[in-house]
Order: sequence, then structure tokens, then C-alpha cells
Amino acid sequence: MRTRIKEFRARYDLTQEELAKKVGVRRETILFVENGKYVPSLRLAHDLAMTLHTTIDELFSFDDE
Amino acid sequence: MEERVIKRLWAAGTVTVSLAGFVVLDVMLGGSALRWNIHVISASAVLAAILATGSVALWAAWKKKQDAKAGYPAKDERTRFQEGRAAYYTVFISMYLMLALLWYNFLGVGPLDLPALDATQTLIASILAIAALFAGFRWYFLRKGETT
Repeated sequence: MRTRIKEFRARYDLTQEELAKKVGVRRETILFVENGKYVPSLRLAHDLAMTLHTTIDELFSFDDE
Repeated sequence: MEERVIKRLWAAGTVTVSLAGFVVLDVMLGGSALRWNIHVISASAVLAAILATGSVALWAAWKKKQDAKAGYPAKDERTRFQEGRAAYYTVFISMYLMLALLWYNFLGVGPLDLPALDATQTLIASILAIAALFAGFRWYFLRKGETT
């Protein structure tokens, strides 16, 4: 799984801590999602996309696994 | 003080207190680890494990308070998922642990003439072992666990 969370975070000048608080998860969860090591639930993906003013398919992409 | 430093100091304190508990009870019961009195050693080990568990519980409570102060939830979907995974593995390993104890009772105490286990100590040790297994798996999955 690839994500563009870091890129969007930088665009809105948000730290991992700030993004975590906005979507109501722990900072480590943002770290794992950002590194592609944790596939978030649809709810969390939606919340992340809304917070970063984008869409889920802009934020996440999957290689053929 | 940085959280990492506090964590290390707490871990060092936990080890020290547990070891001290082990040695003090060992001496009080008149045993010595060198004499290999299984009952004295296991009683001392159980006390050390209880002290360690208490210290870890205190750490967890302190961390939870700090997280709440910083505005993080105590649990989120990833921690719940990984705790579920940890519980699943703990159940399997615990089953094998119980089977091993059962076989020890059947074969060890009878035909092999090994010392019989004290029921209370075995129960306390099993509970602590299960708790330690869960804590270990939880720690591992929360840091290394991947779901992709």
C-alpha cells in the first residue's frame, strides 16, 4: 500500500501529532499508515481524506498484491 | 524529563525491585538459589513476578494519564486490532503451557520421579505467565505487527 499522507500533511503544514488528534487516533497509527504498514479502516481512511481535503483514492493506492 | 528517559529509569527500577524481592524472600525462607530448593525458588520467583507486574501496571496507568493529557485516545482501531491478535496467540500458547503442566503431572511426578508442583504456586505462576505472554505479544505486534 502506498500513501500520499506525508505529502498532504506537508501541504497543510500538519505534524503527525496534529493529524492524529484531528482524526482521533494515536500518533503511532498515523506513522504506521503513512509507512504503508497498516491498512486503515474505511472510516479512518475517510476521516484522513476529509481532514487533508482530498479523496481516499488520491490518498491511498495499492500495487497488485 | 523526556518520556524515553523515564521509561528506561522505570524499567531499571522494575528489574531492581523484582530482584531485591526475590533475594529478600529467598533469604527469609532460609533458602538459597544455590541449594536449588524448588519451592523456595518458585515462591521467590512468584513474588518477583508480582512486583514486576505491579510496576508495569503503574507504568501503564501513568502513560494512559499522560496520553489523555496530550489529547490522544487510550485505544484506537489499530491498538484494538493488535490486542486482539495478541490475545489470539496468547490463548494458543497458554493451551500448550497447560498441556505441558498436565504431562508433567502425568509423567514427571509419576514415572520420572520429579518433584510435585504446589497447586497454588503453579496457578499463580500460570496466571503471571499468561499475563506476561499477552504483554509480550501486545508489545511485539504494536511495534512490529503489520496487517498489509
